[in-house]
Amino acid sequence: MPDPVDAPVDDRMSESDGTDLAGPGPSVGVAALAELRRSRQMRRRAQVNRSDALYQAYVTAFISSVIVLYLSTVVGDEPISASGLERVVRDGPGVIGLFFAFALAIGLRSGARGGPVAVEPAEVRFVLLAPVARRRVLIGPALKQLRFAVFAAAVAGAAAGLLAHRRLGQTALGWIAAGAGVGVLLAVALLGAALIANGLRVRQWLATVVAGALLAWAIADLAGEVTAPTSVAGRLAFTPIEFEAFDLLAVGVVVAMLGAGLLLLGRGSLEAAERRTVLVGQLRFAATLQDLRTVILLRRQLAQELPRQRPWLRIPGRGRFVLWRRGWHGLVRFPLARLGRVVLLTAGATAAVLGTVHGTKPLVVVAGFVAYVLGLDLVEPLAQEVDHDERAERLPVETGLLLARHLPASAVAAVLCGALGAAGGLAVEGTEGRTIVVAVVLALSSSLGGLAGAVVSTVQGAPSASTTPSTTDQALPPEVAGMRIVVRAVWPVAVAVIGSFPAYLVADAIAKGREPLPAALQGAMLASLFIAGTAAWVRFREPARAWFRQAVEDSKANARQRQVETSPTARRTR
Amino acid sequence: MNPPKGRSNRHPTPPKRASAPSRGSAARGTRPPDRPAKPAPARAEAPAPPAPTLPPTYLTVDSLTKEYGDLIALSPLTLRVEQGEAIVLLGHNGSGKTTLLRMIAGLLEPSGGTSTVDGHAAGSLPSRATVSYLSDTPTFYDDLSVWEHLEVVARLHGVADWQQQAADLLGHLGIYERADDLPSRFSRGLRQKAAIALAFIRPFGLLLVDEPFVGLDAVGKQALLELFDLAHADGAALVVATHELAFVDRVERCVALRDGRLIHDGPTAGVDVLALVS
Repeated sequence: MPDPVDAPVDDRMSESDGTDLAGPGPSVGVAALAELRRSRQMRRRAQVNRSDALYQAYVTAFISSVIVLYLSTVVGDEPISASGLERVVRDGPGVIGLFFAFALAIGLRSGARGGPVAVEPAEVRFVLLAPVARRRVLIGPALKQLRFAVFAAAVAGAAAGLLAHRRLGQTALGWIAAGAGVGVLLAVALLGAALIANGLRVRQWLATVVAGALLAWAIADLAGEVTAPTSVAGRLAFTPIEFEAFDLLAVGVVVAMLGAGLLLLGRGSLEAAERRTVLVGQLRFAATLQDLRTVILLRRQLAQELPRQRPWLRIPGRGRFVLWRRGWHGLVRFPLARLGRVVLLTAGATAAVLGTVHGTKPLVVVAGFVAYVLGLDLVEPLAQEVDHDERAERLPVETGLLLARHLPASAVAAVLCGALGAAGGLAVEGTEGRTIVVAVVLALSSSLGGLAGAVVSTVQGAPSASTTPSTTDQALPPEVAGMRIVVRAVWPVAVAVIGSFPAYLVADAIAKGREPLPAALQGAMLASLFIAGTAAWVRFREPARAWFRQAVEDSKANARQRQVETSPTARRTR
Repeated sequence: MNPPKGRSNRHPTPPKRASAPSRGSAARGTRPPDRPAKPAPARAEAPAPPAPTLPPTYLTVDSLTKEYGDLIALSPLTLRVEQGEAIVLLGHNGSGKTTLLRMIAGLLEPSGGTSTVDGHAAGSLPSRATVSYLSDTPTFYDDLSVWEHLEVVARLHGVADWQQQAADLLGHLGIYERADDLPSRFSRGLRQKAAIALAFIRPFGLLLVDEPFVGLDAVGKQALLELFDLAHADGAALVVATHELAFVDRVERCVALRDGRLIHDGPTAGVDVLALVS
């Protein structure tokens, strides 16, 4: 319906140039909008504590310097050999091109979901529904976002250029300029793609298909099969070594994309914009708290991944195991997009496990992380209970027992994913007898380990944004409390990585010429200890915490009692 | 940005609403011409009486639908609202009332069908100039007072002498003394009153109202009813979605939805309201 796609021509014109208004002239509203923004900005500036702002800038600069220094130690400073340089020139553009493909893919998907601009909910209600041309309303926030993205990308690109100079020679200035330029181009490509997708109201499925095609093209280019247009942009990164004027075409295309995106600004869907306004704020807050589960949950909401009205399968309505059936009622309502993601994540985890087994051992972390993200999808029944804890508290069932009874449905779903992964792995590796057993052990361990990590993350809940320490934190020394926060963030992923650890041991055994099966079983034993421990933790967490709280209270009461007994007044009374 | 000092916050009569733009815009000829009345058969003895002039259709909804995946929130719905007409929109929770209002306001994209306001596609710039939407969930800027909100909304809609009107509105709703406070920190009822003031500070030809009585005290309800009457008398079309059955008697026409489908559209007189919302 609304403007401008389906609107009559006169409406579309009036949206774009602000003429033919039934209400006030466009300049009236625009002037009021400008004044509103000016006064709010002045108020915000007045509220900024300068010393706080300077401290934040200092911390950002310090952390950035540490990262650059660390990366420089990783990259090293020995000049690369001639053959190495040749390889960099050959494969480098493809690698940078893959970054461009990623940027375009992210931009397309963001735009299809109402991005990249996110305004306040009140701005949607009062300004975007006012008779003011929407492009004029959104151009300010869009340019602000562009400015920040360009600055950040330029700094990151320049740092990367500096690191490249240490190994690849040539002039430092040339590499810094090339790095900064490519960084800016990446940021502009991302935002331009997002603005175009938004302005043209590209459907989410179409954005995903185009993004997938771009990524596949860039990967095929990297494999040397074809030439992707993104690698033309990638060649710009190597300008200090080799420059072709033709490559500047990429700059023209990216700038044209941004221009087209800005021209289309304001033609996007207000429904998506309003949905985005609410969720993006929460998303940023969750990201600030390193709360990955909430980030994923909000991204699902942003993509409008709603449970299906009608389940894929009917679960029998009778029987004793209420929570088991409740779990499956949720799982069989997964929308198609979510099922697709589960399959993709299973494939990703399988590929990472295979990569680990074939000797790229660091991929074990990737396998664990992907299995963890997969687990966050499969843990849905438990997550629903945790997210509505006020309901659980009213039930005449101990919370730990209630939560633990949600686990079997998710575990069976994880086993099914593991079976799928094992089948995929065997399709690649062949179906020799022992290979089948190893594949099954690795797949089950990885999928159940990922689920265990997700269970930990879900049950422990989002980190508290409160500055008031909890009872547990109060009882701990500050150093230990700090460590606790770090462990809390890292532990779920660590449990998931332990689930994939058998793949590492198998790789080690193969490298040393030993049988892989005992190594796989050994690793699976270790993983199963953690998986079972997680289930026990879910079951007995509440009683254990209650016991700990009681112990702290008793200890405080005893201390107070001793203080009273040893005080001079008490002694005199005695 | 402060309310004028020395003014009484007691308002004896409802404030005068800014004149609706619909009248001017309709006269400018952007709206399609009305269908001519069917000519009466010729008579030999007496000349035919002049055909009665129908009020122009202000809101036109044609086969409007909304689907969320496999959930149908609104089945194809067709509706006409004349200029100056007041209708009440009834239905149980989840019947599609809010969805319909949000689509007419331009906040939701329909899955099918069209809606036009004064001849313009809903959500288009001219339509936004003439539709005022009072949502069931009041939304405010965190850092603006009620008075500053009123200034922003009034000026975005080109209301020049908004101060007097704002003071009158706030006085009428009984929140004049809270004009400098942040509405984002208000209670539900006060937020609703602030939202009502914002819906009425600007000119409109069509007022869409979703559950306006929620959280309002008796004085607030009375004040809102008076504002509705004033807007109606001023020629604006009103579409009010509510569960407040007492409101039904105040309007001429009742539209009822059930499970996203239109089940009734007719005069309120003699309607079994309870049957419609059950």
